[in-house]
Amino acid sequence: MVKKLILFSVLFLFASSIQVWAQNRTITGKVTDAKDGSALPGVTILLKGTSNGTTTDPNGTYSLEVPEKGGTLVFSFIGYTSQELQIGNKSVINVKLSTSTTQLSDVVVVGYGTQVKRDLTSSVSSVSSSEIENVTLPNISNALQGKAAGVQVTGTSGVLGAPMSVRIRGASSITASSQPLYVVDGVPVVDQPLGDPYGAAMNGGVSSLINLNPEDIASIQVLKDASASAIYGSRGANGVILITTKQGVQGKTQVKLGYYGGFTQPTKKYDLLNGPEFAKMFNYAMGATFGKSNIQAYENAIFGDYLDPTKVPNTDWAKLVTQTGFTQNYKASVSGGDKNTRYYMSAHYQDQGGYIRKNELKNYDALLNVNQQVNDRLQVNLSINPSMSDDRRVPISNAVAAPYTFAALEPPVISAYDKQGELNDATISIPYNGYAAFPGTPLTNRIGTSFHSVTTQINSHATANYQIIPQHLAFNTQFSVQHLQLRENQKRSSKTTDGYPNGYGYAQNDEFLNYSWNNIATYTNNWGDHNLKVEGGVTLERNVEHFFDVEGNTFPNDKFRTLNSAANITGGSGMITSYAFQNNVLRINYAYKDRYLINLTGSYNGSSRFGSNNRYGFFPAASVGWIMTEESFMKDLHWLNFLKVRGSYGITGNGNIGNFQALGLVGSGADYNGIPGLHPTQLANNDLKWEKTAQLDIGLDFHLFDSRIRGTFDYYNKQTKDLLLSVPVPATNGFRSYIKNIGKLENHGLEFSLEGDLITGRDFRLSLNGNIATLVNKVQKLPEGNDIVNGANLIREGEALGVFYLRQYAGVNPDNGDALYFLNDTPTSDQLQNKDVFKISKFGDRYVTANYNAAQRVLSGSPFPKFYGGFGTSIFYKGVQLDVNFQYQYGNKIYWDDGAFLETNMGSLFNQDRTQLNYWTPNNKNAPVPEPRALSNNGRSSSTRYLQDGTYMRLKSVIISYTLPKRLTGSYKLRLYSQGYNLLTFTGFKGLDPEITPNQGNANQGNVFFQPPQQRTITFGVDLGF
Amino acid sequence: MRKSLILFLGIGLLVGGCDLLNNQKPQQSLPFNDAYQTISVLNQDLTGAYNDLQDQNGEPVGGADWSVYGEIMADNTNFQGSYPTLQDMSQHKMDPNNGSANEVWYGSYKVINDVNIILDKLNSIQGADQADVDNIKGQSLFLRGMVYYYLVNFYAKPWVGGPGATNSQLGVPLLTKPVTSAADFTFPKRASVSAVYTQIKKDLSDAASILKPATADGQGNKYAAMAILARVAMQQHDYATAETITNQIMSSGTYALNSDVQTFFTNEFSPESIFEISNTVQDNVGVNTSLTALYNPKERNDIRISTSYVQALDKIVPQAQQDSMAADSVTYTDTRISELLTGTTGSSSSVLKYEDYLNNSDNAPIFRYAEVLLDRAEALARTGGVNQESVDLLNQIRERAIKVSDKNGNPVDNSKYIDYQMSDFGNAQDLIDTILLERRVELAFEGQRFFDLTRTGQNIVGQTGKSESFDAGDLRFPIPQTEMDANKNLEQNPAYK
Repeated sequence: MVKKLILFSVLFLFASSIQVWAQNRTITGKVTDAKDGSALPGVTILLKGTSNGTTTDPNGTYSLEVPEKGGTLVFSFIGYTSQELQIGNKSVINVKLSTSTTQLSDVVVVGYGTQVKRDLTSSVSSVSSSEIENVTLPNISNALQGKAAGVQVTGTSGVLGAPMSVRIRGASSITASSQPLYVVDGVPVVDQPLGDPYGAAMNGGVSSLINLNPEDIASIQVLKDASASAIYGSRGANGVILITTKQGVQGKTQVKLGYYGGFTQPTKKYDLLNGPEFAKMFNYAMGATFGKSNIQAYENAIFGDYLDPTKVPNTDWAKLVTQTGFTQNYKASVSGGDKNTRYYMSAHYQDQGGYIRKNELKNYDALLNVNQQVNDRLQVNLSINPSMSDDRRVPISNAVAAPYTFAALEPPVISAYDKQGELNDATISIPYNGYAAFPGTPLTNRIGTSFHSVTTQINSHATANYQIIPQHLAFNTQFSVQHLQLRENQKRSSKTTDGYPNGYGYAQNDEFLNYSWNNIATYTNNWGDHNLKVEGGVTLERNVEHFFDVEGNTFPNDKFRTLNSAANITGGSGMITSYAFQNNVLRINYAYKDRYLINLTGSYNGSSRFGSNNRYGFFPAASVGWIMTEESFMKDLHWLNFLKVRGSYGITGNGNIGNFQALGLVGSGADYNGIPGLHPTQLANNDLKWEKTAQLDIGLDFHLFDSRIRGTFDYYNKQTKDLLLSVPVPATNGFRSYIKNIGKLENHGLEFSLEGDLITGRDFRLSLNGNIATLVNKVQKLPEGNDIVNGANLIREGEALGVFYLRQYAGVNPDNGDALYFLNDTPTSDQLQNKDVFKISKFGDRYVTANYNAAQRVLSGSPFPKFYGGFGTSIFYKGVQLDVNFQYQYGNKIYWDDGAFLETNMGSLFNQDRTQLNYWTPNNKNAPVPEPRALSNNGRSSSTRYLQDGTYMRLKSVIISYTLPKRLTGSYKLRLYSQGYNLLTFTGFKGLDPEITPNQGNANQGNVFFQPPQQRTITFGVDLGF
Repeated sequence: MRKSLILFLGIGLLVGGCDLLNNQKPQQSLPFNDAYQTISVLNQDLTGAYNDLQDQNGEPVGGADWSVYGEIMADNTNFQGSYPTLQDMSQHKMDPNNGSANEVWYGSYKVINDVNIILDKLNSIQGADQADVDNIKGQSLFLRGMVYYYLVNFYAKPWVGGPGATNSQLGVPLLTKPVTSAADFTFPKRASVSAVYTQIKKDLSDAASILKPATADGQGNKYAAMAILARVAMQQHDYATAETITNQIMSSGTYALNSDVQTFFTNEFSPESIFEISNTVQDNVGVNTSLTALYNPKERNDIRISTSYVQALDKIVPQAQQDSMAADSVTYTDTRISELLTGTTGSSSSVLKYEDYLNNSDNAPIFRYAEVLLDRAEALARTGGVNQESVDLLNQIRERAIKVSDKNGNPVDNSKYIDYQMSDFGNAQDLIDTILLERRVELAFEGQRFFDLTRTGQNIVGQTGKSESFDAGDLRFPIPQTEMDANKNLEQNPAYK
């Protein structure tokens, strides 16, 4: 019944909108640069209050049909001040635009609507298409790196297609995701990584956002404060990223073609021991553990041969698994339209080669945006964006088969090939009997592993906008469908670590159907000094996931690749899950005298994920702004063009937890000996609800000196309560944790961004930009005030979330080469008597011990940076443009788990970092590295030995481009460019990449384990437009 | 008119939205209340408890850990792999973050809660067949008793003295009540070893009294419960009880030794098998910590035989027996070497008991009939000194394992050469030592060695060569650090304070 009613209403709306066509006339004119009189091509001319518009041609001229009664024309062009002119009875309107780049008239997309930037009272960071185009971005989220103050974007690994970790204003949750909500053209999209993580921390896999082509993006807005994000209610607390795709504009058809190609390399490789060095250190370690006199006998028994440093193999495993990857990108777009129909269409193909061999990602996508003005009142829009990404993946991080991990760990004294020149395979890769811990070598894994994920995606939406009362009341309905599917096939040959001995195959299919329906009515009225805009409506969203997988082993031989050849189907599963959101929104914007601004936002929001007692919640926000430069008392300050102070306060929620977490569940899949079984998997909590974040934001926007200097300053304070906390409970209860709403957390900080056009000549221009954000994160309340310890991280009241909590490594005992820890406790008399605890002059007046268990853990530093941001410059000289961007982070700690393998003074039988060569021996008592002792733990337990400072500054991108002068190219625009990405890194961090944050939850943040570093890319390209 | 239409539309959406939110239901789980209501679902819950015991994807407590840790903590093996946590365990250098040791704690209590819920919910089942109720109840008690037995012996100092002795040393937390919601959470102290043993014996005796002699493969039955009870009695030095129980198992005629030593390992649930934990292909046993991966020479093969074990093998056939065979020009083969080992070179020979290297799905051997015979032989010797039955039982094990052939390779009657006589033993201790040696060789690599050493109070000479008293602090597992952090009432074992 309800559905029929809706259908009927929509039909009625359409039917009632057919009206008589109005009479039209044509306006023509030319737009020029106010400074030098040169023609300005590409200027947008829009009839105010309609979508009727056009752009100027290469000669700066335009022609536009307007209604007989006239109206107001709006001339806008990026980098120029917009102008509004009454048409009156004129038929020719020439306009001079001045370059004072105020940007104030830019329209900013906000949730379910748009707003003029000048009138914004909330904190929104924008990145425009000009900053995205022509940049080789691994992921769309990279566009925000170093560009938006308070937005911290880090990679989860340097392999192609890896998801990004994005934190807007710190981490406001402990267990729920802190990833922002992604909304593309008004539609919330699935952004969760898909596919088998295969070694990656949780949420590894393929990012579903890689299908978005940066070339198609018109703008990205980041909604940071509560006033901006409250409209997304229970999903707004982490901030919202709004992505808008390009639309066609009326005027001459514009064609753009582009190509770039280049190569990729890792930003870092470890400097490890070579074969002879390894052998020497290894021999010492064996002697130290088993006694110098026994070493020969022991080695003969266990290792077959003595490790003769002059004869051992010297394999550079890293070299065998890495490469210089080649990357190329083709793009084409056509846009244009007339008064009634506008279109933007594009196609894109990209083939990226990673620096790890066999890592290759191909993207294919197309976008069609069509706008049709049905009549004066009705406009419809259709957007279709099919895409496919074909990702040849490699396992990473915590999998032995991960090439970048295994190549670092596998001792160089193992040969890649045997004496016959055949691959050293699983059975013979153990030359020292009992030595190599895993079958296969990095090389057999590289050759024998196939890991192939294909993501296909169709994002489409249809929108109808009907002017119920022209200029005043409009109704907008948008129906959208996102269909996202991942098909993944894996094959591991019999000679690989994970496929040994008869081969292993895996296949999965994961499919999301996400549909939403937004219905928003907008009322606008301007009278006297009053401007009012009210938006309200209802949105519904449902997301269903279907998943199944199959795995098997025992293939006839390695040539058989699919699971039908597997003699044993060893496992398989099927899963269906779903969630739904409902959102009722209302937003009121009111401005008085163009200077006093008020915004009220509220959303009443429901989610199927929450307990039956707390299914709906109300999320209100209010903000005010005062444009002080409109006041007469400030008119005399000519150097100050614009000054706005604003403040906002509001409540948002975070419901980023799994589906059905409120229910007590007994799960299947607990079969035993082939009989199906059930076991309890989750305890009930009917009170489960979203986390609530109350955020205060006070900000200042200013433009100085003809808007040459523009800045924004914000102070924010986010108080999150009702944290969805997985509270550890004693395992004796049969469960190790339990989710409840408990706990409080605070993030506060300052954000400051500044940009300046220092030189703005016709031939020479220089601009600078920079931003900085500070962050203080503090846990305020925990269940019963109890600490929660997660590995190396601690959650404690009064401390930053996930502060490191480790035994404190002191150094080496010069007397015997023991690794020593600071006791950080009062020694017992027994400990002193047994000499278990003692003092050594080297470590001052503090007690030290070689007994790891006796040492106490201490707070050892925060995983949050004290401040972070980016800065850059743009220089233009006679057609040559140079853009340089840096990104930095200061004061965070990273737990470098790689070290517990690579810097263990040969305590584990893995290859070692070259620093380990300076180890303790009776003849080198002041060495910084403890005595090597084979098969023995001398300092490799988790401690501050592996805690590192994560401060870095990175030269993120350098782009140099040359646009050929018009006298050579005529109506064509030809641009040549070269780009470098991740060129230089300045850091003291010992690990692979300080800019990598595996997505493993906020409670365990700052832990890295062999995540491949980001890629360094250098590309050369050409763009052609006509 | 239009405005009211939009209003209609809005209301319609609101109503539709409510339905949409409420209509999202889980498709692969049951709400708690629906999962324990009938006897058939309770049967599936019981299967789930076995799964949690076996769980190779989570904590393979019974699926591998008991069997592996019971060996690498002791002296039959030489651990050569790179797994730091297992390496530390084999060298008695664990710390409270040792993930391998911690699995035992986490997994055991998961199983304990599984069966505590089942036992509780059974009370409210009405109109069910008593035989079904008894089966589920008996097996739940069996699982709980067995899990506590392993827990207390890994985490606490071993039982000292006879069955009546007070063993007030710290045991493990004793939980017998279900946890189905946060309101049920407890923060228990460690119960004394005495209290834990009392519970174990009660659970297993109750189980034995109501369980049928036969149940499904891989599940505990009456005799499995009794067998573990016999093991508990041996730990408590309660030899009279051990004699009684072993006699009951033997006289039931349900079990027999297989004709050769390898059948138990190649055929699942053979006549010799009293209880084994099933690992199947579908259990997705990883290449990492399954029994097969750790032992099998075609796999990671982290675990090799120790020199100490080779020395034990050398003593199995005493000089007198070797001489008599030499005199008759016959030779012997210990099939426990020829069939179950790749050789007898300490540190480089491997064990072949776990042969399914393709799928890593060898079952975990928990109790087989040979152990009943050896328990009884030892118990009788300890109470009655040198006696014929003990010698007969010992010979039964030997006759199966040690084959004698003439110079043409034809088998000859081995009893003449390798059997012991009462007269071979000067005193009871001689006989006990011989039985213990036979036991070590027969049951090696099945997870019993560590517990045999601790119950007999022998020093443990681990692979580092260090000799430690059976009750040394670092031979006990550390209570997991996470558990210490989550429960202030727990006291850590002294070696890890």
